[in-house]
Amino acid sequence: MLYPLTRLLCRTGALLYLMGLATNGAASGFPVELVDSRGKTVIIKKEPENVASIAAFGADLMAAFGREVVGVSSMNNKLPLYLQPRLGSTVDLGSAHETNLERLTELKPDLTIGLRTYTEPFQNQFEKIGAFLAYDFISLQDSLDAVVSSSRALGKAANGEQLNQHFLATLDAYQQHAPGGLSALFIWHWGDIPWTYYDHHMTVELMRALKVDNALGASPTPKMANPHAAVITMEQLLALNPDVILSFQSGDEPIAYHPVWQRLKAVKNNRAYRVGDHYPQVHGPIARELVLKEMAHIFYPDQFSEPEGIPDSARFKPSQFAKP
Amino acid sequence: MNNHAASLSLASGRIWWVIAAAVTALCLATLWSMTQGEMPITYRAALTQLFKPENSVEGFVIWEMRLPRVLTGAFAGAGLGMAGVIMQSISRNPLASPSLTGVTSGAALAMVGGYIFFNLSLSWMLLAGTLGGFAAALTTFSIAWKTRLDPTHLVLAGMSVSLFCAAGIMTLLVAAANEANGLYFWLVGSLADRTWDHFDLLYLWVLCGLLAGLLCFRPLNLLAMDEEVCEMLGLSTRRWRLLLGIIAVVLTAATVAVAGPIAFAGLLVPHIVRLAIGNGHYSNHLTALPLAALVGAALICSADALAKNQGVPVGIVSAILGGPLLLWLIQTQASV
Repeated sequence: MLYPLTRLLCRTGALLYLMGLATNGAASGFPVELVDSRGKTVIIKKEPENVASIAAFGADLMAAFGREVVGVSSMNNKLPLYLQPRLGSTVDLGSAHETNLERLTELKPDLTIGLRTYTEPFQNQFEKIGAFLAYDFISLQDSLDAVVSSSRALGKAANGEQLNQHFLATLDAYQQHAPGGLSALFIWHWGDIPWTYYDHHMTVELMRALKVDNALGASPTPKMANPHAAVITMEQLLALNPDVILSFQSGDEPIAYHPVWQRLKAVKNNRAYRVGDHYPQVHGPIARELVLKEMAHIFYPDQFSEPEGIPDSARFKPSQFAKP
Repeated sequence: MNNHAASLSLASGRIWWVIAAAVTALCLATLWSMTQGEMPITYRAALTQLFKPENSVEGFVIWEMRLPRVLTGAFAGAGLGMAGVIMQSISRNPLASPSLTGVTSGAALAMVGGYIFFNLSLSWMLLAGTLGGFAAALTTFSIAWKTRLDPTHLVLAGMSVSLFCAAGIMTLLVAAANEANGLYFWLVGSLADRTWDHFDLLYLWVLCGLLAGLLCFRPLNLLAMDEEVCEMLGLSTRRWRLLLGIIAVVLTAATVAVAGPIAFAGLLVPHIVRLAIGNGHYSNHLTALPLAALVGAALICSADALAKNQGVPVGIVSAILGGPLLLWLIQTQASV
């Protein structure tokens, strides 16, 4: 009599075990098959526990999910300032174009999320360390795609979709309240050489969504994602003469002296600002929302209040100019 | 006798042609540069603003942006041209250029170091570059001093110092904590966005160097002769090589600090002048030195006008045009 009972229990147990596995697998959705910006199919077998990021994006996305990356690349020897409170024990992996691969190996990430242009030459090495996803981070669409794709890799596909929907709704609301009628430039200073971003860079796309004209305009090669920025001469800057100037500069030094600066409308009207490192690294869910809200306040201080949650070191401030 | 007189007359005619061509090129390049740019300014408006400036955007663009750029280019070209003749004469090497003394690399190293470590202001950066050029050149001269500044040893010492400085530059750029990419524009050689501050640092050095070079035309003529002949004529070759080398450094150091190392200018100009006026007149440095300064100014201004039109640094235009032109000149000279 016992034998059939044992057999029944065993069968029931096995069935329950298989059901459990199936349920578990269905909930996490692993393995996941993804195609990244390289056009490469990447299979993530199980939910990643240790995630590293060779761009602010991965750290930003993980922070949006309340998690921390084990390592993140730095810009000019600084971890993303706008994420600082959330990067407690995160290891600095060095510059994005020259990742410290030994340090990365030591961290044993089971997923590394990287910026394609910088990581592609070393992709084989990254793939030996763990699963590797490389994305383009230029336009708003790149950001939306990368959030969806990376969220799936992290087992949070629905959350990724929600993040995008929330952002697009916020963008729409801000767009509706933006009065418009301004022109601006987003400049990155490399030494005393200013670079300016074209229309298809995401920060400029957000600027344009806020009804602010990018004084530089579209790229002369619109079908190509790169270049997304160009060197601008001081004479060109004077000719464009925007209402507002947003400058990103890696160090703390004032903007290099040139007589043109004092003739610009933006400088005369005290509307030239230095912005944080989230402006060039805008593609993560936290960065893009901060940039949108902060820019809305910079452009239209009467309509939009200054956003909260930005560390002082990353908050916008008036530009300082060097003396002759 | 009549043949000699005829050949002298022909050669002096060629000198006047060279002067006329260089002055014309200089004037045309200047005028073109005054009208080219983001702000459309007509030739007439440019000339009006030049001679009767107004407090307008056009006046500002001409006087604060385009004129200092052209003048900086002209002085840089003049300095590099004359320095090229001096260096080729004292080293008796037609492939010598002002950078042979290490001055270019030394100035570049000081500028890169100044930017990365000290974040110096513009005036201090330019001064640092000039002093760096002097320090490197003096190191070269002191190394070669033991061999009486023998041309071969001078070249070797200059190359060593240049390589050492180049290695230093690469190390600094790789290890830079700040974004140093902007420095690459300067390292290529650029006149974009040059202001009166740049010109102010440059013109005195170049004027002093040009004057000193002209005053030393006789020793330069003698140095072209055999070493023993020079000694027999009572010329201390070592001292004169040092003095003339320092003049070349004076002409080059501030130029490099202000405009970066503009490739080929110092190498190319002496060859252009030699081909234009012939070896006989070229060996008279009273003629060759001012001509080289004039041709250098015209060359750099023309190259910069082209560079501005194409939106690239002048160093790139100078390298693209200078390389093939130098090869052609060498071939032409070989076949003469």
